[in-house]
Amino acid sequence: MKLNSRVRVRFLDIVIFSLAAALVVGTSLLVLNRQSGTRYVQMTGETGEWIAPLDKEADYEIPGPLGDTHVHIHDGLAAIVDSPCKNKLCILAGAISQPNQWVACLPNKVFVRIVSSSSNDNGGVDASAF
Amino acid sequence: MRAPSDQFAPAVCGTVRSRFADRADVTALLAAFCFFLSAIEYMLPKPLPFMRLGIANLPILLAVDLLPFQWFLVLAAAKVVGMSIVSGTLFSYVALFSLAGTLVAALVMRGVRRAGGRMVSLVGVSIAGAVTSNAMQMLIARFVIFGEVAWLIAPLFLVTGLVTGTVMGFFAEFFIEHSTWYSCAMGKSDERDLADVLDEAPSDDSGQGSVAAGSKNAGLATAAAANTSAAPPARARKNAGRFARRERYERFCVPWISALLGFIIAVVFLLQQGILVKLVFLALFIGWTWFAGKRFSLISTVVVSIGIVAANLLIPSGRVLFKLGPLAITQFALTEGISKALTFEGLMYLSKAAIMPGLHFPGRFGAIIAQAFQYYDRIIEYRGKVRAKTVVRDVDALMRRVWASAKASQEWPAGGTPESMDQTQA
Repeated sequence: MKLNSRVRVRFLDIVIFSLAAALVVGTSLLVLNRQSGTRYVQMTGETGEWIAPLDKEADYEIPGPLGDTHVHIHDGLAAIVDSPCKNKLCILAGAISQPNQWVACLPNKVFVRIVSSSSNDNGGVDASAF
Repeated sequence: MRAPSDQFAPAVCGTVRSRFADRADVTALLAAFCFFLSAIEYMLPKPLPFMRLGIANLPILLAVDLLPFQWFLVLAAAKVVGMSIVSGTLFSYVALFSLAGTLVAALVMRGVRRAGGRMVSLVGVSIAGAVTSNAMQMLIARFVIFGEVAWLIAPLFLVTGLVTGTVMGFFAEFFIEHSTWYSCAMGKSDERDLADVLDEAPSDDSGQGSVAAGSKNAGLATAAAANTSAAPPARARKNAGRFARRERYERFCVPWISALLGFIIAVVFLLQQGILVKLVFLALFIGWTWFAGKRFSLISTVVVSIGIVAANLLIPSGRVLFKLGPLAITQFALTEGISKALTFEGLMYLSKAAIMPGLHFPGRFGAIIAQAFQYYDRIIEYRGKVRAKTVVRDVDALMRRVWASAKASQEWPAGGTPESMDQTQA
């Protein structure tokens, strides 16, 4: 005996399938968008290079010829909060968050810069460029 | 041709119908099929370690209409616990994935069915369950193992849920339409001409030897029996050694003491921070698993570990050690990845070693699990064939046979018959 039958697809089946498909497409777009726009803090010292995601709170001690420069990352901002230099200009420069923004402690040879995984992510138009 | 000893055949559902009123018994049978299907799933190759077809959820899908709500939840819980014992993953993250995925899927499936009524079939119910189950597992993967990068595989996971959910839904709809067992369980047997189905059922109980291992019968029973029937001599020798170790181990170890010891060690292990300490623990756990005669694969361990480490490296963090093309290999991400991989694999091995098949749970729930394991044994011993072409009919025959054989032997677990359990429940 052959089991001949056709499964009857109901209205809500199609609705649920469509919702699930929309969820798949939505998640894919979100992931693509999110991944391409991830920003990192790149910290370069005399002895090496460090990388950290900008959206995760962290503290880094970057060694230089004068001592350690302390970089604090929180709430999407990165700042030098302590450095063994004399004039403390790096601390006064404040926090950075946009791609290609940088702050440096020149006497201690520490350079902190925001980089993005996407070339399109330039952090919006810089009004001062006009 | 009618199967001679088929207890369903003479009076269709008559002789066994009263048993269907016993929800504990029905739950145990469905749970046994969950265990069996998860064992099948375990043997199938997977493109990614955590990717599953979800065939083990089929009995839960069938139970959506079959069981009252509390028994439905008992089935979901029994599936998780039983599967964790079969695969020895009770103390590992896999059990956590399974628990969250199964319970959420079960609740969603039930909810969709109740809310949708006649507007929804098992296809929609299955899709909703599969997608939410996978989404839930993604969330756990995000917070426990992979970190941020888990979002990268989210679309892949959800697509898998959508596709397998759809296929399983169609299969379940097709199955319930043609299954004698299901029809009896639902009390609908009089409305259909069951004699037709039964007359055509293969004579699967003639006892003419082992489950066919031929290429045509790429079915469920074949997969279960493949380990014993077609192993090459070297592998057979290796297995014999393992079985000897297992027998020796099981003679000296009491299952509940082993499980308790495993649980305490798992807590101690989870408190460790150092990579070296974790590595030592892992080596000891692998040794214990070997000693206990459990099956394991070092290759699979290495592949899964590399996957976890690689996933963690995708989000650079810490001092740059070296660069691989555009990817910076950073110290913190690397140690974090190794640590997570060691924890994951360590718990896996510890669980495998400490969980013995004879482990019993106390109370009524424990009795249902024990009952399910008895059905599970019957399924594994089943001598009939399950062919791809006639899968619905063959699986139905398997269900009826297992159901009937357990009744014939009256092997109810300690703690009372299912009837008495049901009465106390009511």
